[in-house]
Amino acid sequence: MKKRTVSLFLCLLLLATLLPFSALAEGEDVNVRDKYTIMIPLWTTEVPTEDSVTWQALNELTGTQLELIFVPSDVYTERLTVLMASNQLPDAFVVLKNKDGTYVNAARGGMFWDLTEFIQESDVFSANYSPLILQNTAIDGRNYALPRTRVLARKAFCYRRDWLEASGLPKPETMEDIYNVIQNFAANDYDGNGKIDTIGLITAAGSNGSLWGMDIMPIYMGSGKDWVVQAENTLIPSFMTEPYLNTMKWLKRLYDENLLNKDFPTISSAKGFEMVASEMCGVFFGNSDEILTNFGTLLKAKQQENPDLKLEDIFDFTSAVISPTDNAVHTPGGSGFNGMFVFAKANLPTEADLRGILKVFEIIDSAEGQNLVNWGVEGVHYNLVDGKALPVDDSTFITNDVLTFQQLGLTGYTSQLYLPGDVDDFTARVNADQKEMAQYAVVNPVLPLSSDTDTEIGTMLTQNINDAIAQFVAGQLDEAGFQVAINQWLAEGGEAIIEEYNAAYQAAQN
Amino acid sequence: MKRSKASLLFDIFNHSFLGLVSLMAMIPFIYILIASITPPEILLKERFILIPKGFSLEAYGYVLNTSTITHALLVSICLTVTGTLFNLAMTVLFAYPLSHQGLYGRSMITFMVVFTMMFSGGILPTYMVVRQLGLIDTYASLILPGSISTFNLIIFRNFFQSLPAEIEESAKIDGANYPFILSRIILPLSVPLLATFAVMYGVGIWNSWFSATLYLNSSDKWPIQVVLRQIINLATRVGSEDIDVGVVVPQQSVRMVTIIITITPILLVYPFLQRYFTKGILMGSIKG
Repeated sequence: MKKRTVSLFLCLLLLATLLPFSALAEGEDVNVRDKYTIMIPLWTTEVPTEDSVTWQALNELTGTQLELIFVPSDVYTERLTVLMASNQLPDAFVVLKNKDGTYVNAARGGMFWDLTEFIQESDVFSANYSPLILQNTAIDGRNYALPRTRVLARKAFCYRRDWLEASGLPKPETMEDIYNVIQNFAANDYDGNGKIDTIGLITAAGSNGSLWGMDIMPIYMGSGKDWVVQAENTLIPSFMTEPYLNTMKWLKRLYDENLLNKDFPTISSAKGFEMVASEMCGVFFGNSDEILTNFGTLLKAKQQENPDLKLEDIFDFTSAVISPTDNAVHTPGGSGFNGMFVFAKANLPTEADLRGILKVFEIIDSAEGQNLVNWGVEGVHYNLVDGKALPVDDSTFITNDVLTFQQLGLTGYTSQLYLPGDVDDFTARVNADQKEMAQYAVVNPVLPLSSDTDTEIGTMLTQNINDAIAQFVAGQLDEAGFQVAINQWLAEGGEAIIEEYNAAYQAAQN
Repeated sequence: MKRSKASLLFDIFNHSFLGLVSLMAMIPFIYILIASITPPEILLKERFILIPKGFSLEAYGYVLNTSTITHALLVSICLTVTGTLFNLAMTVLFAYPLSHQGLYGRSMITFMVVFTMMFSGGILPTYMVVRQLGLIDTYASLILPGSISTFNLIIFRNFFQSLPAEIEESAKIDGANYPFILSRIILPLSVPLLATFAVMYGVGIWNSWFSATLYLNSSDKWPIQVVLRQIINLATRVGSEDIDVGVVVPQQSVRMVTIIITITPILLVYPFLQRYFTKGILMGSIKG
């Protein structure tokens, strides 16, 4: 019974989508195959099988069979590198990093289709993609990929709302306010365990040694995101700027006053989240949406005392931090995309073949397709309530049968052709805030530029700087010592990186 | 015989010291076991827990209800059993001829074998070989490329060499051929060795995950370690720069349950083969 309604609905969907697209493809030679292999990273614990409702709906909607290869996200790049090197690529696949050396070289070597013209001539893509995002993912000014767009500004200073209310402090607006909040939280026993044992702020060392939150705090202090455009239109890395040094001093002050966890170089940000969830700490610098995904257990524990408690009663966030340099709001901007779809020439030898698979992706990026990969199938994964999608009350099912396929989506997060969600107030607030903050986003100016030296040894050099930052915070290096680390960075290749980016930047300006 | 006070004191100290050391090795296991049966809300507050507080099988129910983990567990068990038998058979069949002085080109073959111990092909060439053999997306790709461990092969060869040549000669005089000698005389004499290396190979296959992520396209062929890794990995990457939007992190108790489920089968095999262990490892390793 249920199945029949589903398939009926899908047939209608299919009909509805086929009409406009067949019109679009007219006049061009398009070869849509019955089968495409597409490789995407897996971000869920369960893998959908071929009888998954969403998968079948996708096949029906696109009119082809999508043979999806799910690769665990942490080994994705390794797998892709092997496939690229052995030239055994799937028809379409996600490349996670647009500056990955193997990918850049392969693209320059003509392994992938140049999509620049195809994107322009497609009504769907030219409408859904902003020129900026296409520019940011280009190599030498050419687009070899369809980026999977993401929200530009997600970052925020997140804190325990109930603790802040108990402290009587105002909502923090500057880094100095944030310091006061941290100090107050550490000096009081808001978690009520009878001990003054709250850690003021937790930071941690990431995979390349960068401190947790160090992608946020310097921007709040007035520095740039990784790179800074100076007055005379030249680029320097943000760690060479004054506001960045002030951030390090700010952290060192926390460290010296015992407000920062002493073991920060040895723990991971995941551990940091656990400590916030177990109420050992009341603040973190992170994505505002991470409040929604990480504290379910804490909320459940709190609800045992007060069943009416909601997430917004215990958590709040500030994304509009006023920086001391110009008294204006700055917020860290992301890259605006998370990976991108690339098409191998070996599998799609003719333009007609390429147009065929692009058509499939046009369907996935249409309103119906976006609905499918974001909400799933109506009646199965969500119900329509006043024109809004209300997901069914089974988060595990939604996670495994819908979230997994979100990896196929292209511009959903930015073009938002899918149905608005019937979400709770806090989620709506987070979404609205992220949208609102995009105008204040400080983005990395070197994103669309390339530097061969950076591709080659940049990561290694950055690691040394990150180590020096950690040492500075822990008091093992003074300002002069940090300057030595910067000089070393410059000598070991940093100067070349700065030169190459500046040359590319000047070329792009003219 | 009466023991001196000093000897008794030494024994007490010795036992308690070694007991402490082994307890230290046990603590992670105890922690994981306790954490897996503790309700998530309590686990969150306690963080490190060795004495059970509250009891809940909720996480076990959740994990065992998901088809992925039970299916992957079944795959892993089948892979380990067939893989271990296959690996042992291949190793014996290679080591036995190699243990004979009269084998033509013996030193050359031995050199080539030892060479692979020093230099390996690397990921990419291995991938190409697997690809060209048509093994991509098959279970064979997880067993065949690593079916003989060079180190184990050399131990097997040395062990076979250490057996008295007279046994074989007398069998030959009685009219036995090599397959007969191997199966009726050599192998029965090598039970401790076989048992030891069955565990070594078995644990190796049970724990391997990388080749599965590299060679398998269909995720329904994934062994349990890939699934476990995915669960643990998602949890450890929270807050990192490259994590995607909306990723839902599995609860800590779910992670603990998955670890328990993953280590239990191999832990169950250990006690039965353990008595051969010391015997088997020492054999063949010294002589040679």
